[in-house]
Amino acid sequence: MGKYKKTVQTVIFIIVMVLIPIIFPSQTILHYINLVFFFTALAAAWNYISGFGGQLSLGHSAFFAVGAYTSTLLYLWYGLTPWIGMLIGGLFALPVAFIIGYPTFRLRGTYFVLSTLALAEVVRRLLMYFKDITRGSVGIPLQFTGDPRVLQFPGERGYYYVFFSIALVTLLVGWKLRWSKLGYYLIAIREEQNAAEALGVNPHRYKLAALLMSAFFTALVGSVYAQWACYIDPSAVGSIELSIQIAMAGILGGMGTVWGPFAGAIILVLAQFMGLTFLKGLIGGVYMLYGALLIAAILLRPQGVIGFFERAYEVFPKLLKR
Amino acid sequence: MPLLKAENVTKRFAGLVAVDNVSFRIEKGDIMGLIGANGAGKTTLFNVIAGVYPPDSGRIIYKGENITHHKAYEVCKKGIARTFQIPKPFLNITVLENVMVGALSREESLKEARRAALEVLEFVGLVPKKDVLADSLTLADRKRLEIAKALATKPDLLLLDEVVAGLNAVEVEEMIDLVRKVHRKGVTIFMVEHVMRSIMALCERIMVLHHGEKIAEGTPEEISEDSKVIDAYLGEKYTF
Repeated sequence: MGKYKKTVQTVIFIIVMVLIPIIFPSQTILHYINLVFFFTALAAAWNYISGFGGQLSLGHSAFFAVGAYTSTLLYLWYGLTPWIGMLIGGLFALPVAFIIGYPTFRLRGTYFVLSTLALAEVVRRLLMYFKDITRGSVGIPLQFTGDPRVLQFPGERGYYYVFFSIALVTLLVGWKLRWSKLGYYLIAIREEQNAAEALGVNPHRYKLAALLMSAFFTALVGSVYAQWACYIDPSAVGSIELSIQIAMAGILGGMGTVWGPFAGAIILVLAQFMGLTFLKGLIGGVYMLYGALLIAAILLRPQGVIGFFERAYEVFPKLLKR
Repeated sequence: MPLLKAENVTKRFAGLVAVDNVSFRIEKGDIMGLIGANGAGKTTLFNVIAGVYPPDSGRIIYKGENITHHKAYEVCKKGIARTFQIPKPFLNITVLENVMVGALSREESLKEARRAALEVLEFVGLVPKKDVLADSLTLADRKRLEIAKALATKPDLLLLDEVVAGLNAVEVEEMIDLVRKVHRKGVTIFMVEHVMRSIMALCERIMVLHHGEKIAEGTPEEISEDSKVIDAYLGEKYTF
């Protein structure tokens, strides 16, 4: 493929993405599109450690919550704009990731996944416990200003551009990662840790690096979420459900694939939509649907659905040429 | 100064003495063989040298430096590479990418690592398979890939753990040729082997382990006539 063709493709892609919220002014449709980008970004960040590195995390809500609370409290206390607050939230997520990564990555097996589960619950409990700072389970409502300077927008359209950008950035970071030394080392560790070590790979160090990257970007999304929802509480941003949703989007799309998180997010949001629409009367209906999807994915397509998308991308232009 | 020196190395597993007070030295340019019955402690000794686990007592000296408690990845950086008895390829990436992982221990950029990896693949004769997933390789090719990955880390000492086990007669000959070629390149070789044909053909010196203890060391001729070795391992006198 020529460089020229690639540039044209990129320009068309950007124009289309910019036009979408103008073509679909419906707040509901945009809301669902935003949800897709939201989960794309989260699953893409999750994928760095759990997909490429093969270290399953079921506690990414911990990093999300740290991001959401940090930027929100900085905004409330000091009037610091969440545009900067989100970066600080991302930095605050690093020691949290370090606390579980440093000891558990020395071990093998299920220690990491178990401690991520515990971490998410610990963070949620701490947010409830330190009422003086976090207002506990009452949560923090944010005054809605619609002012872009504090990462708020009058409608879904403004958020669309933010979520699209962060989804794109996290995916591109994943793409960069896949084709880097760190990426190769993570895959080697995932595939056969003993063999990787024999080839000079320090598994502890590289897993930790991937976890820190993952935590940083997850926290960024948490900050944006807080300004989108204008309300955070420990069970909304620190719940096990969120952790599971993030992991589900990553697994359904295809662990360790570059674009899988996007495909996984589409399926997750579709399932959520279906569940809320058709299983309205059934308490926990959405979760049953998630469970069914996960079982189906593991049985039928453990490598994720992204393969179908890629095939379509390859086959579609050929069909047009006929 | 010997390239590698082991002094009184002992390794126990829950009371079982897998390697019992073993000492030996390997000079630069050697091809040293290690034989012994199943469970004699050969692979355990390899693992101790390669840093998979430390010995309970004794020392490993490499190029005059004590590496007894180095981790596997540090040992690799020092210049000791090893292959695994059961090949451990990274199944879901290509042959070239497998070798690149090894090359990345010496090269920072992917471009340089790819170039270095291609050179190694050329050397072991796996270039035609470079773009297939490691998953689809035959056993013989997997063993070649093991050697390629190890060579990509640019070792001075290569530990080969049963590289001809499970191969047919033709493949055994090819592998012996490859090991010779690696040795000619200036890599010192320490190899565990069960197939006497290959070890007798390749090695200048052979060391014999029995129940973790070193019972003999010498040239292939000396070893094949050593009565302790015949009793413990060979069963009968090996004739050339």
